[in-house]
Amino acid sequence: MIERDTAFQAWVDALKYVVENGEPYKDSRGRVCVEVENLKVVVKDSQSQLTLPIEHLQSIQEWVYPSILEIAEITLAKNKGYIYDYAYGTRLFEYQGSINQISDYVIPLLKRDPTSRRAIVTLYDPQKDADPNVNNVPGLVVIDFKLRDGKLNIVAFIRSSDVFIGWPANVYQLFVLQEYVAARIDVEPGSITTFSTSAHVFEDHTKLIDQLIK
Amino acid sequence: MHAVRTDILSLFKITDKDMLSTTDIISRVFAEDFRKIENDIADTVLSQESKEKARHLKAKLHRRALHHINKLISEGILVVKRVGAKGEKFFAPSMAGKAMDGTTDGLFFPQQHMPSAPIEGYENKDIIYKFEADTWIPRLNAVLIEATKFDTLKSLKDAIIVIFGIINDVVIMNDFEYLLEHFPIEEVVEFFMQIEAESRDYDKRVCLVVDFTNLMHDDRLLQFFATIVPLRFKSFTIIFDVTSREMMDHAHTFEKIVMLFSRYRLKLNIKNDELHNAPFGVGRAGPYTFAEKDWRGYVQNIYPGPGKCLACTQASVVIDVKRFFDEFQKAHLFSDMVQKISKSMFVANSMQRRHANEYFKTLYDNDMHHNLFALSRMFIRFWNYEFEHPYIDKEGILEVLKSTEKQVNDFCNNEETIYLSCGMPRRFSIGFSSAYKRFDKKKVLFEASEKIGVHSMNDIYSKTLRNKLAFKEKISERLTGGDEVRFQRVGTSDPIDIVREFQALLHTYRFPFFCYNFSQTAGSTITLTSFLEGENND
Repeated sequence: MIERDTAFQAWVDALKYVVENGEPYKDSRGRVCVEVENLKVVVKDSQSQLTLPIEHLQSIQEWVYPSILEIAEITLAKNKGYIYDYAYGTRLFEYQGSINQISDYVIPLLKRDPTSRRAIVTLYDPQKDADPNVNNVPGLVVIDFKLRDGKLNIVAFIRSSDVFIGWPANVYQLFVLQEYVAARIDVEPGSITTFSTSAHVFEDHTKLIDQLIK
Repeated sequence: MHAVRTDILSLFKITDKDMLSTTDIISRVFAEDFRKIENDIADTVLSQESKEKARHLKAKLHRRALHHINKLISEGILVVKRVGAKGEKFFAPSMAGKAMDGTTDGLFFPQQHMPSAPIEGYENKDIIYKFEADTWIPRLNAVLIEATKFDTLKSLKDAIIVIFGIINDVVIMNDFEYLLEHFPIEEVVEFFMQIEAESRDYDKRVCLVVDFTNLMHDDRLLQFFATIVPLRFKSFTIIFDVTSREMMDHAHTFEKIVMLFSRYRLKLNIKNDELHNAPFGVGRAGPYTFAEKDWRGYVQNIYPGPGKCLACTQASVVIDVKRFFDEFQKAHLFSDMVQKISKSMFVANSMQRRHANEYFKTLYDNDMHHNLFALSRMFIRFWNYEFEHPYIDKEGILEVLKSTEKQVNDFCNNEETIYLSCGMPRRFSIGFSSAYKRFDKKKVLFEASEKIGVHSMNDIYSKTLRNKLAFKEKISERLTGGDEVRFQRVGTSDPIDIVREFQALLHTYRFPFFCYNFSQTAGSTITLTSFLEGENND
């Protein structure tokens, strides 16, 4: 487990951990990576240095990394199907076309029962995703909300996490959602925990990762 | 900002409606209270007094919501879009006010404009041109429409007109022969005339793809051409999608087509279906086609679905290769420039897709597509690449194209991976293609590419031409977005000889798409009767 005060510290240390302890393997697209199974990363203060990892990735000249705007938008806006193969916002606010998991469930539940252990949402939709022919399915699968000591903590189950380029965006998306719910139940955002069953980094990014962690 | 106002604004963020009514807002922002009040009002066993109290509470809720809505209006964040039949107001975010400047606690996002791109220096030097720069982002270049997906010619015509409104170059109509097989020829001719008139009004082009694999009645095709070819249509291009075997089987038909096209000095376009299965289109910018791998996936998975059209090309730039080497000389600088173009295209692609429901609203409204961008690509078109230059020769150009293609593909794959890793999976692909001389209405590119003159079959196998054509083959292999090899037919135009030349080209050379220009052939005189009866008056 990696537990750090800020998102940036957690990111750098998670990368170090995966690089040092990961097992090499080749993914379905033939890309070589190193992988750690079941990695838990805790960001104690979700608001501190939150965008620093994203800003670092945006500064790399070889590519165009998504803007903060795009990353945030995907979490709150539904019906982005014409841009992306799936959208977290749609899955959260209009699951299977009609279920608003946040406004109609999580927020009222936590208002009524602040100690609840069942404030969870799912982003994986078996009706759409449980098909071997589907190319892309959500990486963020389940999100759990817990209200403890007046703060809203979030735990996310991630089935596949590219720790270098994907994790910073996922954590920011989780923060946007955390802040959205926290504001509506009148509490402060707390910690963010990610539990990745496959935490990996790709060989192509080794040089860039080394520059960051050394 | 007050929590209620934040809640109201958040509704606009997560809704897909253009505007929300007062009731929409109240029922969501005060969901619990609203539901209880509505239940009380609808309750049949509740006393009149209690119901009256519920109505009173409902009015109070309305006033409370309107207080906050009016506050947002006075701050320029919301605007009243319309007033409904019962006086209920509908609200939408103000496009020019504070709501769009990103300051309202992250719930609203600013309108994006194309940022200054790192290719502007090249544009100023006339090395790079954006095709239709004024509508580079809000319009698509080319859209393919499936003729087989329409029950009536009217619905097809209406759909084409809708597409005219969202493109800046060409509509590619796939399987045009389906219309000839399923509707009376007179009606198809009438349809053609109507589309011709509309395309002139919209200043757009239409490409009709005739697939000989599906053609059952050659006589209907000939009857159609006999009527429309003499009209010397300007905005239409016909593409014959054929294999060498089909060319042989339909040789007599092709002879008649050659007779007619050469008589009226029309270009005859042939797509080699054996080499390239995806349809080709021809616009003002140049040729268009889909990547073969993508097309195979489309035929299997998407075509059977409800979609009627899909984007072929979203936006394109043209590079004047010769001008680049005149100015910069070095191949590695060419690679740098293409990298910058790729990044600019990625940004443009993102913007276009972010606003797709606004730019291409008419398509959505008419339920014409279900995955518009499933196969779409951005295009980099090349111009002036066939030259001997002090700094680079033709083979050098081929090497540059090859290495640049790999670099661009790596960039596209990398971007897809990044966005996928961030939970935002999207397609992004760039294709290479050739450009036409008059791709820009305002600018004419100089140094036309060399036309290949053909007098007879012997020329096709002559040593001089073989060398030229070998180079063209290599170029066509690189330009997966579409390349056109142009032949200038000179001398007499015996249709039988010309069809043999077509067959030779289909058999011998790896050209996915070539064109025969008859503007310099000796004239022939034919009548409609002689054409349909097969007499050659040459």
